[in-house]
Amino acid sequence: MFHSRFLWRLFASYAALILISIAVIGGMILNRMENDSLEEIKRSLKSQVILFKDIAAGYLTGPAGDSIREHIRSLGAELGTRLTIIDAEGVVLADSQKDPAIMDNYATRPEILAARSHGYGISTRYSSALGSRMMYLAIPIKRYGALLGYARVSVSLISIDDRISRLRSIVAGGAGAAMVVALLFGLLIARRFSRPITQMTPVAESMAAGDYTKRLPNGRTDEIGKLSITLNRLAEKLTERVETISKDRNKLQAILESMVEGVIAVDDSERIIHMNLAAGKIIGVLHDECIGKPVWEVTRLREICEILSATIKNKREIESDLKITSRGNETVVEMYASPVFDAGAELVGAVVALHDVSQIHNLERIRRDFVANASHELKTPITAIRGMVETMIDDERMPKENRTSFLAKMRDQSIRLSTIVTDILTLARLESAGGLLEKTRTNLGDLVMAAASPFRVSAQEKGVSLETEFPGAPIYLPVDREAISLVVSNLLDNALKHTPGGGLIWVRLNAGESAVTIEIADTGIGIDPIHHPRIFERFYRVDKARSRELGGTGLGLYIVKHIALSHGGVVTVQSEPGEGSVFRVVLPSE
Amino acid sequence: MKRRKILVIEDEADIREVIIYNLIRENYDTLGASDGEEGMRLIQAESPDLVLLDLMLPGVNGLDICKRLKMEPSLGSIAIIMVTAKGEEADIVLGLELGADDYVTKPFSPKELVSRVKAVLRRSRAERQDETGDRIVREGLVIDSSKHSVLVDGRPVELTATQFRILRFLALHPGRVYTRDQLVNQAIGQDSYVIDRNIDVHIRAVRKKLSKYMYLIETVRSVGYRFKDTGE
Ligand SMILES: Nc1ncnc2c1ncn2[C@@H]1O[C@H](COP(=O)(O)OP(=O)(O)OP(=O)(O)O)[C@@H](O)[C@H]1O
Ligand SMILES: [Mg+2]
Repeated sequence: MFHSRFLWRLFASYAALILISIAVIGGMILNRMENDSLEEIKRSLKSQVILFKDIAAGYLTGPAGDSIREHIRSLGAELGTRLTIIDAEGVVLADSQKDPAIMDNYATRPEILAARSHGYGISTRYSSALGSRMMYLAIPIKRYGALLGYARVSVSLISIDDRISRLRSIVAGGAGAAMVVALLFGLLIARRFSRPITQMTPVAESMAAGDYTKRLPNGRTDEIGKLSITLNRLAEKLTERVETISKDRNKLQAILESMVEGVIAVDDSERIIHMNLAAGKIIGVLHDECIGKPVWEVTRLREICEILSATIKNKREIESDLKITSRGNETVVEMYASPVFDAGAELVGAVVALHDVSQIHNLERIRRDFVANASHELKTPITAIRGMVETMIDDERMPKENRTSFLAKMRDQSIRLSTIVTDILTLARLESAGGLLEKTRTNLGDLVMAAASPFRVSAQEKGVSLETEFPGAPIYLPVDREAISLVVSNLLDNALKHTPGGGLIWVRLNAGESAVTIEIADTGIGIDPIHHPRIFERFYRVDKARSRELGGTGLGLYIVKHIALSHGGVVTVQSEPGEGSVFRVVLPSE
Repeated sequence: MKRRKILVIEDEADIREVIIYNLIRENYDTLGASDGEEGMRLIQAESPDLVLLDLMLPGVNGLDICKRLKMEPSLGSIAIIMVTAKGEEADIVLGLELGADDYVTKPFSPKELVSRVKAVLRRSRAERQDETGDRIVREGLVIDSSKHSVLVDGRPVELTATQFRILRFLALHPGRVYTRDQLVNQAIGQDSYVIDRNIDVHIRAVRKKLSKYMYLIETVRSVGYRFKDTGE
């Protein structure tokens, strides 16, 4: 409290005010009193000098007698003044207090000089002879215009000086007492004024530092009271505002964090000010460790840095793509960057949204590949057919054997064309149905048997034996009959195609605990394991030329896999070159 | 006249057979290969005049063969016609830029294929005879390189230097397709600053100035431009 500078300032100015006013008033009073007394003395000296003038004139013109000197001495004592008679040369002739014989020449005394020139002289000075302040008044004495001498009266001012100094000490004492009282009182007042302010200061300071929990005492009705009410209201408003802001911020944060799209915000010097979880995942960094770091240091991706700096530079939205390859996986990201402006339309940074489109991209690529492959597959037989037909039309003299061979080839090509179309249509139907199969409870043994029977004839023709092995008890399973018979016929078609005469093909059916297995095995040429992961892909053929001769498009196994998967099952292959192949379709039972 | 030798690299036997049948009828010597390796071997052993090249081949693909042919100086003079399926424009552009002379898309008619073969062979002979091409006359169009002037039905037309170079370059090789890149590099020269898109602007301007003969500059969609082969 006593450290309050405000208090001391208030008090110091108050004290100075009191001191100055007492000094001024006291000084004025004392001065006025002194002047008044001196004036009074002067007046009495004047009347005395008029009385004394005649005595002095007589003395100057008449003979100097002891009686007159005595008379002057007694008169002086009676009047309480000092009377002096001085001749025209300044020689003291008589004095009521001192012996003229030992006195100086008075011609140069200020009152004498003034009396000679102005007919009247007055002077106040310290007399070392008498040891006190004196007032002197002198007038010239003339007869018939000739200067005879001077009459001087003087009086000691000691009594007045004493009175003044007494008065001064009274005034000083009074002033001192008044000062003490006034200062004490002042201190009290100053304290009363400064206390609320010194109380407010720490509260206001903590508000400034961001702590809005403290409140000022109120209850006063003056300006200070109003001020503390205002401050309290300000604190409340600020608390509210801060709360809404932080609530909004949290909401925003939560939204950003739960977004699938990555978001990176940078300031105008390309330092990261925000980065969400998804962005971290996409570019493979820990997102919360990146704040404040330069975007290049964090991402190490030229595309992101470029799009951000271009956005900041051009102050407009920019779109571009980004490919990130890590551990063999390619992530394709679409980037949308836009500049960020503050309320004053001043550019403060940029934000980029990263949209992982790898999946869409993949699907798109698969679709494109499929279209390209399919059209290529279709174009090949069409080209052959068109070429042969037009050649036959143009060349009327074509030899018969060429004609016959062309016709046979055209038939084969058209059969191939129709197989491809059928396969593609089957595929389209299967895929567009989206796994929507028409499942009915079916005796699998009967179904497989029926699907295999068309192959018996061609197997026999080729000299390949076809054997079936079914368990005694019938196996019932809800399946799409058409689809499952397609599986069997595709696998049998492959087996027969790749098994030379004298070989063997089995069709087996096994019911396990939780699954049913349809197994089709052959003793044919087999498949090198390097091809195993790929033979189930669309249009994949181990030996393209050979497969084409056999009229294959590479869709058969893909269709098998597709059907197996849509029944909740799998298809596997087990094969070595020269050792035949085993394909197993495993379907879950109920 | 010496019989010209043509190699057909095509993996589909029936297509190969039909192409060869038609070429033989036109008195060409023919060779067939079913894949890239065999094709390369035959090129080196037989040095044919022209190769009909399927781009989608098992093993070494068509573009690789194209590249190898044009890199080898002794084989650089062998003309190449690419045989591709539609929808492979990117490959066609690449092939042309690698130096292929022309292309045919599947399914093609044998007649058309044969006429393309003839045109390419004729062109490669013509180029050798008249490489300067100081004065090119096509229909009612006269392009004079020494005077740097173009006359349309006898009336002179004003062309900028770049436009003149493009027109002259295209007219010098009628029937041959050039990609935009090729036009920039070969017709205009690499030093001048013309980017891909600009070619379209130049072509449009040239066509406008040819007025009646603007059909002579043909657009080949998603590939490039070609000066109409009028069979002169
Ligand atoms: N049992 C088998 N023995 C040896 N190779 C096989 C066997 N089954 C499939 N293959 C190989 O796997 C490839 C893919 O078979 P897929 O059934 O998908 O096509 P495809 O038989 O050529 O044509 P599609 O069945 O569509 O007419 C075949 O080209 C063949 O090389
Ligand atoms: Mg098959």
